[in-house]
Amino acid sequence: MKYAVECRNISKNFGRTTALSDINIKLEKDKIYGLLGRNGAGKSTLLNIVTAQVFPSSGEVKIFGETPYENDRALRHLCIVKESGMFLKDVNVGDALDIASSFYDNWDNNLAERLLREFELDRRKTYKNLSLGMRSQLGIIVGLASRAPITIFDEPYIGLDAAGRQLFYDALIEDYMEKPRTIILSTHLIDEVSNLLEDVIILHKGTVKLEGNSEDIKNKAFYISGIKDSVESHVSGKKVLNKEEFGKTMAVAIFDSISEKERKAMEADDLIISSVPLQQLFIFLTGGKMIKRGDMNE
Amino acid sequence: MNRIKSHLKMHYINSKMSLIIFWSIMFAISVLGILIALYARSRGYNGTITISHMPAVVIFGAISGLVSYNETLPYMLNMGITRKNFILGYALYNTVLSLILSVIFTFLTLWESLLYNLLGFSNQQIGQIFTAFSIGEIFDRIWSCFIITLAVTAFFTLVGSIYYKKGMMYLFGIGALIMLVMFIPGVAAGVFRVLEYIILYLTGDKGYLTMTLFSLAFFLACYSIIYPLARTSQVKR
Repeated sequence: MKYAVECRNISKNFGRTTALSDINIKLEKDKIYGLLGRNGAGKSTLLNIVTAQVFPSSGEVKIFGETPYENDRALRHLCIVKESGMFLKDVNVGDALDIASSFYDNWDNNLAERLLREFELDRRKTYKNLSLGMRSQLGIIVGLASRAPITIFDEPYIGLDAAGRQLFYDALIEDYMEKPRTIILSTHLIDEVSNLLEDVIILHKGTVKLEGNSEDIKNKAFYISGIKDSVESHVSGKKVLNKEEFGKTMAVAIFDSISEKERKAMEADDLIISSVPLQQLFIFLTGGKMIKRGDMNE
Repeated sequence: MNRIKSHLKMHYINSKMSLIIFWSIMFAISVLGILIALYARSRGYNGTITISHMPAVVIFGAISGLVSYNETLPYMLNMGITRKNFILGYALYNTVLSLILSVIFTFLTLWESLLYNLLGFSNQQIGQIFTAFSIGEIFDRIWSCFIITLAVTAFFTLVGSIYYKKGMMYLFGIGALIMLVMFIPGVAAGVFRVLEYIILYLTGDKGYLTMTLFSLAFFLACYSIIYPLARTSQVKR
């Protein structure tokens, strides 16, 4: 099977600092992926390697089966929008879109014009005179209108208010439904995008901490709360992410499957089972010490 | 090929404003020069006033080569262009820019020459202006400005590419090394003798063919260093 993006054993070192270590991921065609990770997790480095802007120290990247380095055919499949903005500072919005239109084969000018109106972006303003939010809007317009088979948004909405972000999510999902493509969304705002993502990759300190279908992941992450002894006996042997005690009660976050029989037994013991939001799961996985299977019993 | 066309379009959009500003200043200076010449003449000054805009044109080309490389390489890589296409497009941009600068420079000089003639100045009073107003003279001016600007632009693109790839300290290191070598007895004198020979050779009666060949050879030599540097350059941001 030809993957849209395939990373094999990617490692990247900056001097003595390891930014990425042995990354292996396969991204399928026409899916929306979430690349999640804390600051310095290596998200931008990985995306720069995928787009051949940065060279890996080892490993290889394939775009639809071809290496992207100095490969015009492979690079034509890609569009990347970065948080730092990659526009020429003296060029105005209209000209920036004009330049972008000449680089992307599937450029949709009607979509660009529509988004320009919806974001109320002044096409005569030069990039250096745009606010942070407006710069993000310009990036979003380019990313969406490019209609590139692989569109990458690396923290695309820095400085954008809630209404602007919602406009982006709506436009993204609408355009994706009309023209499916592989979209990689690298972000910190996990709660906002969790419903958009089909698959999730969580990077932590340069390694893949978790990868999989977002629904499957959500279906494996639970809070179990109730009387302390009862909770402890039911989560014994499960992968525990976090535990909090309140007097005689306890709330435990687990990342493990629960069978129907286990669920009924928990409910019979008056335990409350609720799902862990993706953002909370992300914090548990990347924020603190991961408690391994069986640690609770030790 | 259409990627190179897009590349050139980007350069056109990116540099048109700086070109307009530069030439507006040049034309303003030209007008000021004419007013000064008129004033000097009214005061009875009969010496020669020499006018040459070529250094400004060459400096503009040099700065453009230096700044534009550093600004547009990461932008172009982000737009999905290969490094090879970037260098091809950039070399083409250098050439087209040098030609445009030379053509405008020549017409500015032509305009000045006509105006000075109309105002009654002789060629003995105003140096570096047109004398015969022939097609051959116009072509000579364009071509000589073009080959000098092209060589200088390529050299400063090379400096820009070293700076992008290796950083400021590396450039300073090269500068320091050159200065160190120059302190070796006889080296400085030898280098200046070679430079003097080249300049005298080029400004002699060898004709434009030799000068053009020298300029092209220098241009290609610069790009033969720029190319491998660009091929291994990464985006910093």
